[in-house]
Amino acid sequence: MGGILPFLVVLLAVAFITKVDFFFYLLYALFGIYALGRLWARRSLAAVGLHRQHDDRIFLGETFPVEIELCNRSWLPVLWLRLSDTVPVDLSAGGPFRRVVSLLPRERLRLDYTLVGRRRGYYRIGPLVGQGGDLLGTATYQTRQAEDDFVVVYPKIVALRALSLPSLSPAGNLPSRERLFEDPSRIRGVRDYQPGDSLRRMDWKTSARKGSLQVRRYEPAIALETAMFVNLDGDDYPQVHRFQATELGIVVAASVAVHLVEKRQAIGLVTNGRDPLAQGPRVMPSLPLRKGREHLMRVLDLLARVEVTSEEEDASFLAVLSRKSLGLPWGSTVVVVTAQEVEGLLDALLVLRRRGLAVILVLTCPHHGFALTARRANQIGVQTFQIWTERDLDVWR
Amino acid sequence: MKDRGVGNWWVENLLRPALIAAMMACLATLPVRAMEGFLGGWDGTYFLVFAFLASLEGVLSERALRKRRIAGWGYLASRAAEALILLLLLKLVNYLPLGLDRLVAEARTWSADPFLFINDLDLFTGTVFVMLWTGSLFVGRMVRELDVEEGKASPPPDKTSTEYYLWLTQPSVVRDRQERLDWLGEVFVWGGVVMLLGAAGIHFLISSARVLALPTLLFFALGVALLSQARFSVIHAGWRGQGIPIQQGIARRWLLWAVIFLAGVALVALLLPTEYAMGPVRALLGVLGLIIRMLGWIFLTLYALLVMLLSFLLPIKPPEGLPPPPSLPPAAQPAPGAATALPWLQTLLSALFWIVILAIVGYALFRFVRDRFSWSKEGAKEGWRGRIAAWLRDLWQRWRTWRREVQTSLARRRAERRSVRLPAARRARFFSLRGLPPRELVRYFYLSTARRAAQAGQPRQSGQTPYEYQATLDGRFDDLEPDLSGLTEAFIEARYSPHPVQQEEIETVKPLWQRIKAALRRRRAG
Repeated sequence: MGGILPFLVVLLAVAFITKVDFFFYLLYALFGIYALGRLWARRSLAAVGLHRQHDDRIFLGETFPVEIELCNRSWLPVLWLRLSDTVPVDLSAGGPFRRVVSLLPRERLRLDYTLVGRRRGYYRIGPLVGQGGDLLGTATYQTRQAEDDFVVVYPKIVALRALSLPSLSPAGNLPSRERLFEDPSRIRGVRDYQPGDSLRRMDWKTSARKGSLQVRRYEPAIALETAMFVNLDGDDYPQVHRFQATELGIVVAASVAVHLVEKRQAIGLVTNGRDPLAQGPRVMPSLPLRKGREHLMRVLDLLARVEVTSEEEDASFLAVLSRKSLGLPWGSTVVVVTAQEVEGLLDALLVLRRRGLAVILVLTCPHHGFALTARRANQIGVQTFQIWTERDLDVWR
Repeated sequence: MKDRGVGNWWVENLLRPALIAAMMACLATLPVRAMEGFLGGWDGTYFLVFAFLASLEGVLSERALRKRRIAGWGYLASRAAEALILLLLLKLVNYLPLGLDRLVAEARTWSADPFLFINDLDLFTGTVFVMLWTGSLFVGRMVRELDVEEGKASPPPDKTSTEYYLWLTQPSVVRDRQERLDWLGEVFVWGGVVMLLGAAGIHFLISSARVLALPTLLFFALGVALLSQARFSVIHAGWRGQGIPIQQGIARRWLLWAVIFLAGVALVALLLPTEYAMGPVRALLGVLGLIIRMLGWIFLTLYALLVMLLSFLLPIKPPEGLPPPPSLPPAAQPAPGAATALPWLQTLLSALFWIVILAIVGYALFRFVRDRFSWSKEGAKEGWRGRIAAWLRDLWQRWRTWRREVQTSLARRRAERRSVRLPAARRARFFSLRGLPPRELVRYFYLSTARRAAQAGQPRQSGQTPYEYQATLDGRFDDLEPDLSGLTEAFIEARYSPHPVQQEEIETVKPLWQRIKAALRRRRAG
């Protein structure tokens, strides 16, 4: 129909030359069909409102519906409307969302499709694009949703029960196998007196009842505050294990965070990964030590969003560890999640120990020197775990 | 929600063939009315009815032939037999207005002289009929091919099957059909042109064009309806080809809204005025005349001043005995415009007429300029000033592009001329890179690198893309990898990107080229 305009000009000339009525009628009609058809398509499409509704936070493996509401705000019908929504592959539950609909004047229509959180992350959904056109195909027009939506898929959380974090603080209130300090407010039982026991621990009532001296046994204490340092510098991970090891580190951090918050502990998170919501390229995402579920959701949000840094970015884990651990209170526990031992790691951990922090090292990248690393770490009082698969988390279950 | 079936059965099998046949009948009106005018007394209405029915039969039988997979010579033979039967039928139909007695009487003479079997009327109607019938078959086939055959558009469910592979590698459903739709649009427009010119010719030569008013209007109405349906077929095929779920009843809604829209536009068109007064045109011409007279007066004043100045400097005595110049008759005063005497309704209608015509012409001009000079969207947001500025910028960019292309072309020609004059060794020695524009310079860097790499034993294979060639070179000259990568990127940008290559980019690429060149030279020497 590209030749319609020259044809109209010819028709105009013929109409003026012959001065016959029906040529003018024809001219009006064809021009009207051409111009009004385009106007109709453009106006009706501009009046279509597109809205997408869905949960913005989901857990891994969870399926969630996305509802799209179409609203034709004008009195003109929409002849056809081809909708397509852009969905990340990691969320797609089938093919891409595409539909063709037609809208009556003032009609509202609801469409839906399903997404599934296959991998933790921070995902953009959209743009939602609607395409329409006129009767004769002389033009097509597009409309799109003004703002894109985002979805956070939380990392996998493994239920931990036997997680015991050592602490140097005497004020801890969670039971631990490591009897570094005991909590005098939580009595576990009594035992026979042994020479050297403090008189303060004597349980006089029980001693009188049993006829022999008894002393109280207290629950050992763990940290009140635990800071997790997660290494997401891609250079520190071998290419082969990079994805699996970093994701496992995130799982470890998320699981520990959930466990501790359930025990009403304060947690903090520091990582050298890249937060897509960070304002600057060199901003290290971190969350201070806080208690409560609200803070836990912030931690999980960050763990869901954070990405492995690219090789160009300067994100030395040891520098971040040294800098961000400065403000931790004495006796806190530091959980360091990284790939494997690198030069200077144990030196940095030793510095933390000397500052009065309890340190746990979690290595997520398989390598043969783990035993040696564990031995060396043990020598400086650092407990080491190898978590190379999710099954390895059983040690804490 | 899902509607994977083909559109409405009756739309495809009845409505569209009827539209095509009716359009052909409308086209037949032209020669028939012309012949009626020439012959006088012959009424060709029966022929139009016959043409409609025969065209309808032709379009419908196309489906049957396709279903029975009759093609090639078999198809031609079948169609030839059908045409023969239809022509014989037409011969009989030609006797309808003449009566059965005339047929019997003439039939007796055919055995004596077989040439009498075909008379002039038969020749005329037969020729017109064959043209129309063939045309309807072509159009019908095209429209038929716009539809989607069940099982061809949607992908087969088994993605490991041969059918899926065939579906995946078939030509694009939409592109294929879009070409046919464009072709159909062209046929419609050219058919319309024929109708218009024919009607105008009949208007001037034989009788008033009003006799063709109904068929002409009908032709365009049917054509637009057919195009609308064809458009639906094309996009419907595209949706199905992409496996998009389609809302149920969209075909019905399309038809309904198309009918309402076309009827509404036709109604509005019928209400618009067709008679006009020349008052506005005369007023416009008057203003133009005034402007021309003012310009002429200014020019004459200047001319007189110049002549006066020259006459002071070069006094010339006029020859004696010349007759006095003839005095011009006084200029006729323009008569008061007739439009001022029009009644108010006539003036209003005339004004409406001119507004509509100006709107049509203005819109056509707007589209013409916008399609050809591509006003940018930024300019559109800034209003008319922004548009003009954007248009001027666009013109400037075009001028710069053109100038650059000319410079490149001239430089190439100069280089070719020089290469003809100089022997190869000297040409290489005296080749000046400064004469080349940036884009050509990057290309030269790359091509000379490829030449040197070939001399070093790593020629580019035919069919290798720049990236593939770079990968080959990286494997061979691993120390040159960063430089080769940069040069390849620059070459691809210079070769394929539309935006201009800046001089700063040359400053970046040249060191890469020099390092590669030196390294390749060392390899050759070593």
